[in-house]
Amino acid sequence: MDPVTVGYLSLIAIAIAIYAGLHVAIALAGISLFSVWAITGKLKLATSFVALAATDSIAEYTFGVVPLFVLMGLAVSESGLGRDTFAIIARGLQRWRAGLSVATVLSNAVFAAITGVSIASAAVFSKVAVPEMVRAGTSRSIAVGVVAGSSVLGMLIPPSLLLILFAILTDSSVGDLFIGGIGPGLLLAFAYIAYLSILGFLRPDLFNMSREFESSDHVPTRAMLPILGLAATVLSGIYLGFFTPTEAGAVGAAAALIIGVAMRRIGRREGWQIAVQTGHITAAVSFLIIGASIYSRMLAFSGLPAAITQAAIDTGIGPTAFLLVFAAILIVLGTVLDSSSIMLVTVPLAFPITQEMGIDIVHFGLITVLAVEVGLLTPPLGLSVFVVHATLRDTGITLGEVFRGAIPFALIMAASLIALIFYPQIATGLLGR
Amino acid sequence: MNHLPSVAGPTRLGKAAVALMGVANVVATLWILGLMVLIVADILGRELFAHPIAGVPEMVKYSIVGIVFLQISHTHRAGQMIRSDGILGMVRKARPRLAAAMDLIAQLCGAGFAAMLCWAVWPKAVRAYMRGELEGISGHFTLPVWPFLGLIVLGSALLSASFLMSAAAAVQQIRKTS
Repeated sequence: MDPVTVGYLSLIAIAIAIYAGLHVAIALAGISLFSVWAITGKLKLATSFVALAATDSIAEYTFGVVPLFVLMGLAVSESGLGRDTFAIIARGLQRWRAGLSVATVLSNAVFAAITGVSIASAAVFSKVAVPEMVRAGTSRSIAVGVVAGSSVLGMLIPPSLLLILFAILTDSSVGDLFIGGIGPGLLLAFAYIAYLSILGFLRPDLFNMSREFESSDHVPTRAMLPILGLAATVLSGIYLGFFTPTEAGAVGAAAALIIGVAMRRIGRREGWQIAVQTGHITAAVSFLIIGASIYSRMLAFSGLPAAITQAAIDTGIGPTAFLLVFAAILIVLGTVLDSSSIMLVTVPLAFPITQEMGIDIVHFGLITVLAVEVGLLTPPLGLSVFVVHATLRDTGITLGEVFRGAIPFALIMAASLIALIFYPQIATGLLGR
Repeated sequence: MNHLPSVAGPTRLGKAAVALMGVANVVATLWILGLMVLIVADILGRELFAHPIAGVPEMVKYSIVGIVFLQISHTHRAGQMIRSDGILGMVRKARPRLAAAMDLIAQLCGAGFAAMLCWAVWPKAVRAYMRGELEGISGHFTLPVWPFLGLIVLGSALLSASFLMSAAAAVQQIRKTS
């Protein structure tokens, strides 16, 4: 059969299989196996093609970052550093109307600098920040919206698991992408804060902060030191060249565990659970990467990316228009599929086009991550919203309420995404490109 | 977090497989912690004493393969292998039998793929063992390749078993709802 036709058919088959609930890695790898078989007509060749990809695609030094950064993020969540950060920032902003909501955004931004998983942020802050905001008289819909909305900062502000995944898919520099994530992450955080402040000014009834309200926690300000020290160690170590991003993960994980143990928040049982959980996430993500690498090798073999690139160039579409279309597709996919699957399927196809059009890889990477993350907030399936809802189920809040609360934040994300598409400097500025 | 569905069933074989997955999980978990200690020791040795540990990059490279394949069956048993089960969840509310059937198909596909992987890598592992294939820089640091290929064979065999157990559970589900 014509290789390019097989390529198109395999795309359709993969889409159907993933939507039908097949495990993503199995769908990618299995259908790629059949595609190679269809192209070459030799089953033996197809199986050894898959076996080769499975054995050599994750045997890379850079893959060490996956378990180590996950371990660091989980250790940090378990040691309660997120709760401390929120308590301290909230105390500082008490006099500001909407201060607690702004504190949620800010502490999420700080927390994001040491963990790379949005779900971790959503779980921590729905437990910590929502009750506090509601007690202070903030409308419940805003309280849950803020938590769900600012949890996406975890994947933008480095370190970020999705950026690592993107770097692996496109064989680009993790360090560059991390630096590129700072600008968009800060932009989004400031946009949220501006929105909340304006809302506090226009609709003070939504925040209804009583004057005598006092923060319930009495966390000393120096409790901020571990979290700031951790972020500073990891990021400065990478940028000053003391260690590589992989090694930074090991340093950060070790430091986070030591802090947790020293503060008596991680005992033997918690430590072991963190390690097992790390293993599960690592295995799940790495198996996805194996599937994706089999798929992208099959694609290259079929010649489909080249054909699509040619077709895209022939339409005369410009880089900006292309990025807008690409982002729109990702947002639509994001309403149902999870972030990593979308990236694994679309990036190998779009990456050659962006190269041909001369789009900066860091710019492209951040657009991809931001667009995919909008899906965490949109119905019918927004992962962050689900996590917030699951954590707060006992309070009787409905899923619809959380989704409605998250709408303004999803819109702000979309606006930031458009700004990022038109102004690549937001991402690439810090790299001096 | 450590909740394992009791699909092992009453069979002795199922229990043995689950126990083996548990052991593999413990080994892989310890391996991750060991990896962390190894890298930190390497950095400290290099920056403070100008004395790096030989072969850390090679060890990290192959450790990931070992960790992933040892851990993957336990991950699948814990229901943490990534799939987009959103549509499945919606179908389950309206037509539970259809959803169970869809799940059965997904689990069988997984079992088939994992078995194929096991079967395809096995000859490579045997060949690497026979020829004594090595990885690394000769004279500096080398390590044999076959144990890692062996772990891939073991891990995919266990994964296939785990998929089959879930498939059996899906069949039970279909029977129960009919």
